[in-house]
Order: sequence, then C-alpha cells, then structure tokens
Amino acid sequence: MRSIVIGGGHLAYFTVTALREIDPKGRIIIVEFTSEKIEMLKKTFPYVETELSSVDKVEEYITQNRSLIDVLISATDSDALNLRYAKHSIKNGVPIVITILNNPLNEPIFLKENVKYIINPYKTITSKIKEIINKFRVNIIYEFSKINAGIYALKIEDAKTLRKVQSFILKNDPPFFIISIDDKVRAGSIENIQVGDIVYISCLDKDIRSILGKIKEGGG
Amino acid sequence: MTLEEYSLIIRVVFALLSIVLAMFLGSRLRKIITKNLSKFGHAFASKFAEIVRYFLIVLGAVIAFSILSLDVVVLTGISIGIFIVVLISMRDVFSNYAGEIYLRVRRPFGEGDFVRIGRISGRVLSINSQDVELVSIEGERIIIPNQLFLKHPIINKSSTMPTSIELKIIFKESTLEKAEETVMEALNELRPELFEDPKIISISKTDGKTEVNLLLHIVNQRKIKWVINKLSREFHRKGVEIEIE
Repeated sequence: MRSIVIGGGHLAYFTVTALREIDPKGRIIIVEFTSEKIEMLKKTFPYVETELSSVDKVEEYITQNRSLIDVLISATDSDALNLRYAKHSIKNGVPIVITILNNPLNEPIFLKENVKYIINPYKTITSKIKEIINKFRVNIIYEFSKINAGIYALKIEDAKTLRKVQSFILKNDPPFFIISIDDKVRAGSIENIQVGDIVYISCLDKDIRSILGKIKEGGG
Repeated sequence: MTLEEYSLIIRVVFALLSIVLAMFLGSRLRKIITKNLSKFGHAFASKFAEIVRYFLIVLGAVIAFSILSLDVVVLTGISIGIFIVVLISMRDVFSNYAGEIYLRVRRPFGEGDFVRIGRISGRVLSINSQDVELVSIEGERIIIPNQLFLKHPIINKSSTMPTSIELKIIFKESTLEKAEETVMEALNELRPELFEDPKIISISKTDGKTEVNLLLHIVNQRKIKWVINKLSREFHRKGVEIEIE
C-alpha cells in the first residue's frame, strides 16, 4: 500500500508508526518542506522514503501520483495547509484521505469541505477528565470514524436512570459491561446493574441521544 | 378625494404590505431552513432555502395583484400556465434537483466512495446540484446527471475496501516449481504497492503451458493497469515469456 504523509513534525511520528504497523511491507513516503527535518526523518524512520517539496508544489506531487496513492494523510503543523492538501486529494480521487487537526475548533471547517476522515487528537481530553474526576451523566469513550456509533459510558445516578438504562438495554440489546463503584468490572447482565455503577455501552449515537433524552425527561 | 380614490390607495397599501410580508417571511424562512437542513450540506440547504424564499415572494406578488383587483382567475391561469411551461421546459433540471435531494437525504454514497451505477463505475469526486462527478479506473472524468440515481440501482463499494483482482499468468515454457519461484520473485517487487500479501490460488500445467492464478488486493482501483504493466516488466526483465489475462 502506498501511503503519503504530508508534514514531518510530531504528528508524523505517530502516523508513520501506525502505518508501518498496519502494512509492514508497504511504501510510506513523507513529503516535508525543510531539508533538516528530512535528514532527521531518514534517521528516525530508515524504512520511509522522503520527498523534499515546497509548500506550493505538494498539490502538483499529488496530481502526478494520484493513480498510485492509496492513502494520503495531511499532518502538517498548519490546518490551512492540511485542508488545502486534503481537498486537492479528494478532488483528484485519492481513495483514503485523512487529516489530523492542530486546532480542534477547525473541525467544522473540514466537515463543511467534505473531508470525511478527520482525526482530532484532542478529543480524548474531555472524556479522560470526566473519567478521572468521575462526574458525568454520559461520557463519550470512543466514536467510530466510518459509522455514526461509538462506545459510551452512562453513570447510573439514581433509581430512575437505572430503570431507563435497563429498559434501553432490554429493547436494543447492545453489547455492554459494568464498572462498579469500587472500580471492579462486572459481567454484562441487566440484573447486575446498580445505582452508582457506570455502564459502558456500544451503540449508535442516535440511540445514546434517545436514552439521554429519556433520562432527562425522567428527571434523572 | 373620492371614495374610489380612497379605495385605490388602501388597496395599494395592502398590496405593498403583502409583498413586504412575503419578503419578510421569505427571509425568516430562509434562515430557519438553512439552519435545519445544514446537516444535508450547507450549499444544498442555502439553495433550498433560496427556492422557498423566491416562491413566497412570487406568492406575495400574486396576492398583491389580486388585492389591486386584477382578475384573480386570469392571474391564476397565467401563473399556472407559466408554471407548466417552466416545468416542461426544465423537467430534466428539476429531476436532477430531485436526484440531488435523494442523494443528500438518503446518502447512498459520499465523496470518495467507489460506486457503480449501470455500466459506469468510478470514485466520486463531487456531488453537485445537477450531477455527480466520478473518476473512472482509467482516469477519465465522468459526469452523471443526478436523475440517473433515481432510476438505476447503485452499488457502493466503501472507499476503504480494497479491490481483489484475479490474474492468470501463462508461462509458455516452464516447470511448475520454476513458475512459482518466478512469480513469487516478481510479486515481491510489487508487494509495497499492494494492500496485503498476494496469494497464488492455483498452479497447473495444460498443453505444455504453466498457468498460475493470482489474487491481488488493491486500494486504489486506478492502480490496476499500472500493477499489470509492472508485473509484465518484471517478467520481461527476467527474460521469461508470459501472457497475462
């Protein structure tokens, strides 16, 4: 698989490592703007190919190689450049175009421009803080990239919430497990859920919105 | 001032009011529609809201004319006549818009997906008001009017799904072992461009020729031709005479 990573900064480190793990025999080409970083990248990742390019020549490189590129990841330090390269790649029919955000507030701009796969490295901050402080009604643990679904944590704050969550599980039969108040993992059985527990459910995002609405209606 | 003049002034005021009210309502509705339909794409929501706004303004104008005591029946007749003529002359444009509504609401595919409709297949570059732009495996740009998506079944192969291709390599003069070895060497050269390790499905000898069936996985369908050419070059470089089917 031929993967192109644009930008050789700190985002590239994680990107290249993941690509290597996915396809150890594949080609990884990093397009970078500075020769110093290119030298550094060659030392850090001896298995990658590098391409020194100016900021304005990257689009030309994509156009020339569009029928051979399988995955393109725009991971520069600038969201403006990431958006520019992602849009150009989509326009040129590159099958998988992924962009990594520098500023999470720019996510709506990428969505508006039809960039489908956006990685927001800051997304875990909210869920981690909620998990550590242990004060939330619902916590988004993970959201899938290709479908509108995820893994959600629901805190059973009272008897009403317990009843609503039990009824939701009975009706939708989602995979779930429970973490009790003393941080022990319990088997996923409806009878085992108690007030104070956290129920981890994997389901569609519209379903989680529906259960939240019901909990609010019930005053939980 | 006579009673008739008073009546005319009042009717003019009401006629103007109906136009102003239609414009005001149109403007308010545009904002509401744009906000609520933005999940289907900003451009689509703005366009739909604009159509509704113009419809309300035309409606206000028709009401204004009727207030001014122009014959309502005649006005309605003219309006319906114009509407029918516009509808007939622009029926393809309207059915393309209907196709766009279907594509935005049902979302059978998105930009970047590899789709097939009828005998046409390619990767979706953009979804527009009137058409969808694809790029074929051969690299040709294809414009498909949106109305076709209402009439033909659509096959959507996910953008991340690799395509599996089967190749038959025929060695004119070779033993089974030698053919397998040569194929594996050539495939090793090609492997970095493939999605995962290629597989030899079968090797057989018929009529003095050795046939090797291969299975390759490719993410970018436009690469298929290039892969076959590269494979041929590899065999040629090794001085092996082959045919690829």
